[in-house]
Amino acid sequence: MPAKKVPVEFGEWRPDVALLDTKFASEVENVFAGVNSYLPFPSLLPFAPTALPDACGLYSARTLSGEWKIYGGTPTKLWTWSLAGWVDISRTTGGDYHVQEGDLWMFEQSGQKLVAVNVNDDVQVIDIDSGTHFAALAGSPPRATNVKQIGDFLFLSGLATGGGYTNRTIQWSAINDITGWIVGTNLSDMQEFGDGGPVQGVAGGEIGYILQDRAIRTMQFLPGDTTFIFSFSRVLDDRGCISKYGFDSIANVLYFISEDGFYSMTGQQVMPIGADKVNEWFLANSDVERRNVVHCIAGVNKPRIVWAYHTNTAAPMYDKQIIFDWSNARWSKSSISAHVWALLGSGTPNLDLDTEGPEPGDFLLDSTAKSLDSFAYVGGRPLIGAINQDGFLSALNGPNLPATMETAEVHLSPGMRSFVSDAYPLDDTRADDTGTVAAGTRERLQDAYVWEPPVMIEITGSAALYSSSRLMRFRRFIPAAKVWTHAQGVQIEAQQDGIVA
Amino acid sequence: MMIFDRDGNELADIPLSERNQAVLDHDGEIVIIYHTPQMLRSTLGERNGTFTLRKTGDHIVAADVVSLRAYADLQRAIKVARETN
Repeated sequence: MPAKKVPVEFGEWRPDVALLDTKFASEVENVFAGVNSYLPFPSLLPFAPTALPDACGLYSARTLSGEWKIYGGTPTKLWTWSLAGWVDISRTTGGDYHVQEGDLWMFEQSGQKLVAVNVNDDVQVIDIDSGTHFAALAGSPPRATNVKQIGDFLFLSGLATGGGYTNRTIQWSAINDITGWIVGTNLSDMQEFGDGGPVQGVAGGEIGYILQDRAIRTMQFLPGDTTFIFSFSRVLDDRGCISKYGFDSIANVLYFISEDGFYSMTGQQVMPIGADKVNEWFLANSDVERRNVVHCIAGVNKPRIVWAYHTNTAAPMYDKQIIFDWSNARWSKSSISAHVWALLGSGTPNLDLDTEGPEPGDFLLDSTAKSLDSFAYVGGRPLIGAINQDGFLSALNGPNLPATMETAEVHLSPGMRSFVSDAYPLDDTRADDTGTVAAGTRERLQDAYVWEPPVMIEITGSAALYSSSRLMRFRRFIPAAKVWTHAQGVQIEAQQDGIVA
Repeated sequence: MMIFDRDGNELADIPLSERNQAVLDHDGEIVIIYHTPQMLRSTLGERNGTFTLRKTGDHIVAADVVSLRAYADLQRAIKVARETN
């Protein structure tokens, strides 16, 4: 029987479904999910000369002139980043801060003020343009785990118990006044939710969301109503957000991690975005003891939601990310260790033209370097950032990470064994002199998989596998720092090879 | 902050936010809107109202004495209710 060429796609990564003869990928690593392919995942590229060890907070706030300032937090200090390194801008009275191990600083910009909270310290505030040190926010607001500006109000949630507050209470500020925390004055008020468990946080925009660990409520401002101010409606019962940092929203769509996986919510409509896709896989591959600190970051430069998490109790910091692309409803994952993640704005650009073009100098400004009025020089471009495992401020724009993609399991010749002589990767990796393809084989579904040694891509663009089995899957490996744009699958050359004895 | 009537008589000592004080210090006028907190409505009943404050010399002066006193009473009741709970 003549050999035939069979394309085997990687397909959508859905590890929760049966993967025999499907179009789904069984494994992907360090890639983004495209609509019909996988895309490279960049590494974290450090750009700060000094480290911020044990970082547990990261945020960028915008000044009046439109520039971005980056703030960081450690268990005992608050910092701001400058070209010379991190500058201590902690409070000058009250001593060190006391962030609990595993907790994060949470930040929120409110006008020209930046508010920082952790449940063990008084709410802190600094003027973004002129402040030199954080200080306690006026008005004696309660200590809180989370802070969120919604409309004209600043919300505090995950409150410390005591002083009339419990962890089921939220409080919001006076209208347009983050120093006004007198309950019953200028629309400042508090609300306790008797059921649904502790409040994890508040999210949203025009539609606000209250996330409890066993319920989700929507919150609607009632303009002109000085009696109720906000109306609250429970829209999800018995399910909520299990992590105090595990939620975020984009355009009134809430994304959160629940006890049984990932969900999105628009108003009152709930979508189980992880069901039959990645929920079971995630629950089996994440540290159950630290699911309460899974951290959600909603990017604005790409349609992606990232949840950073710990894989096991031994992981000293966030070591994995699971990513949902809300434009195509596909998932992927990556492995980067980092202390804390955040959405950052790029800082002041480097205007030294010596480094912008291929030429050593550009005295006449007539080289191929970007012109001085190029949009590339405009500060404040959004990017995903982190404090990497070594403590350095980094941006997710480094060389591509090593990528792995696996196809589903296929019967190439139903009921028979197949001999695969050749695998031709359907991707555009440049200078792929170290990339490989490997075949995973077994004769019966009841057998364990055996991965054969990876085979290098030859000058023909194919890998000579010479593998024979009844059930097969294929793994493509693209080494780190290789340049590529799309990977769709492998085309294999196969022929019938007899029956199983 | 102590609030006075137009004749300079003390009316009530009420808390003002830092921002409100800053507005008053810059010769501005502030409007205080008050209401019974949602969680205490069953205990304290529904009360709400508004009054205006402005600074005259060193004194913060209320234009509506009745509303100011009602607010001060409500704040005292809120304090007691929260301490009791």
